[in-house]
Amino acid sequence: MIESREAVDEKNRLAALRALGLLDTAPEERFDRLTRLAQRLFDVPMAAISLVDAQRVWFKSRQGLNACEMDRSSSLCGYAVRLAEPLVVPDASLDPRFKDSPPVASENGLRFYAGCQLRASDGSVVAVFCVGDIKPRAMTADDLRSLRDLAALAEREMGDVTLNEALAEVEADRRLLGESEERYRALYVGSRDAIMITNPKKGFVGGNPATLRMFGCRDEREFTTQSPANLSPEFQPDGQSSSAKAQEMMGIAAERGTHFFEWTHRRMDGTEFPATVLLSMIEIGGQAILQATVRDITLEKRLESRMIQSAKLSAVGSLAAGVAHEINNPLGVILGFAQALAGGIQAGEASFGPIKAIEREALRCKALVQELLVFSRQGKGHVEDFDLDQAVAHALALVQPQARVKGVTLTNESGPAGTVRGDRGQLQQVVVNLAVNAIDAMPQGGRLAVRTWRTGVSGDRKVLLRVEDTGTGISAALLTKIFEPFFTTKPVGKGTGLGLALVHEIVAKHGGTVEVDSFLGKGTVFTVALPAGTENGRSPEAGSGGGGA
Amino acid sequence: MTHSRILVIDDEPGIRAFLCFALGARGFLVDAAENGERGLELFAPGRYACVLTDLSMPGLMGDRLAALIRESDPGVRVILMSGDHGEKSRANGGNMLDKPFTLVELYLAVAGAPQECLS
Repeated sequence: MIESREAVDEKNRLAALRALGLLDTAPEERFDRLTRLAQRLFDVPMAAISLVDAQRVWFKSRQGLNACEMDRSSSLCGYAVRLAEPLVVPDASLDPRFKDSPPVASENGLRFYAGCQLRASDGSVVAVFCVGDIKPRAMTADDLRSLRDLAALAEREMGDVTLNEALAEVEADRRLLGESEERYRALYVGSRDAIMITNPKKGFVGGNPATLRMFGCRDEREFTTQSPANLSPEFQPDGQSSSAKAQEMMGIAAERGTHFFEWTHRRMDGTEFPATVLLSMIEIGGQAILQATVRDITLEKRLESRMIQSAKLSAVGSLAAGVAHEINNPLGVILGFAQALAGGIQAGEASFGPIKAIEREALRCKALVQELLVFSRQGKGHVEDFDLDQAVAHALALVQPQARVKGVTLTNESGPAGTVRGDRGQLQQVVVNLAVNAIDAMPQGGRLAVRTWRTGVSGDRKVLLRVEDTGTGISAALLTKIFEPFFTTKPVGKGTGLGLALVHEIVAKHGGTVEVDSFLGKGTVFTVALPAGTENGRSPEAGSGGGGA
Repeated sequence: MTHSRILVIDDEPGIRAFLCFALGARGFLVDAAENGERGLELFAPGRYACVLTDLSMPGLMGDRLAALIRESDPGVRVILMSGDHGEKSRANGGNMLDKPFTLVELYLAVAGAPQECLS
């Protein structure tokens, strides 16, 4: 397709206009000075420098005009841009070319117009220097010469592309700064991380809303009047004193500009929480300011410890699976011979005791290996839908004699919990382990209450099992360790340290969770949540059978 | 089932010795083989009331051996022993003994008691 001469000219013209870098920039005194001068010189209410874009006329400088741009087709400048010589219209309402155009036809519309073309360096007309009035006027030859002179001045300013660029850059920087201030403000106020400003000499200077929430301060004043020492425990987890370590951290931040590290903080109510801290040294008005961004990582820490726990367990499991075969064979020989020999001798004989001891210890090893194998993630074992309350009753029957001996009253207020899907034997083991632990926690006797119930909404039903004792309780420090394999507080030979780790593993394998609450001297509550099995023996999908033949 | 014959196959000498001792004490006549190939040589239809074989052995594996024996003598009771509980999935129609097992479990398995009575 061959473009018309006019189209090519227009394209070049627009390219030249864009190259000036003036469109949509802020007003500038170097142009405004000229339009003001024109206003006074010709005694007209309107004067402007109009950049003629593809569809619009945009005013780089304007006096007596409200809009910053107008439609090109209805603009007299838009018309003048196509002419070689200045356009002078004494009364537009009488001119057939313009009398119907909106700026002229409106009430108090434009009558007088005079516009002189401004050229870019390549000679194409890109703008118009114009003056206008709502009254008809004549224009003398002197007036026209003055207009041409003003236009020439404007053209020279306009053509200084380097200056235009430099000014546009300054303008952009200023706008960006304004934007970035606004953006920073929004971040500061809306951030979920605590952002606090510290003057190394004076302490806290300010804290965002998240800071106040995180530390439990009523208002910013309460926060800024805190000594930094109040918001940390005396010692960090590594044993260093908080104040010495804080000095060290700030020193590193001062040296490197920023420093990121983990820190234990303390809220106003005295509770502690783990956090990450990003310290940044910034300078405001020649003053060194320390900005600290603090994130509460309690949840991350919890997740991390669960992952470590689960990694430990699976390491134990794979170790057990690896050596099980090698242990089980010799153990089978020891146990088998011991039992066979014990069967052939009388209780009074000298060798009876020792042989029984060999049998007993072999059985203990067998139980340990079997417990360890549960960790090897060989699946859930035998999976079936079974009634949890029945399973609980069976499990409790096993520990009932032990409870009686220890003076523990065992109450079972189970159900109806309905069915659970999983390995019945393993889940009974969970109940037995929790109950045995509870009984061991009550050396002076006490009450052991077991309860099960069903909860949740259709589609997300859960079965809960609660084992509650009135025993010694577990301290907060130990509470984080109780599910670790081989962690035990029982005397040597009394526990393998696998009981609760097994509970955790079995429940996790069944897609459930186990939570523990403990109160020193009052007792401990274990709550196991498991996904519910099908209801009333029906599969959940077969619930609402429609009618039909 | 006194005086019936039992074939024991296991590559572990200790297990063979203990099974010969424990089953012999109950009046069984026990033959022992140290691998599946040797066990197959000793086996003849109608000769044994029960075959006790280890699952994991070098050469002929216990489950393959069990299938061959059942093929030639459908009446014989074959019990697989395993020291690696992960192999449970290849259960031998319930006739499995997990090592280490107790004498009671052994006698019940040999006598053909259902699996539920074992635990």
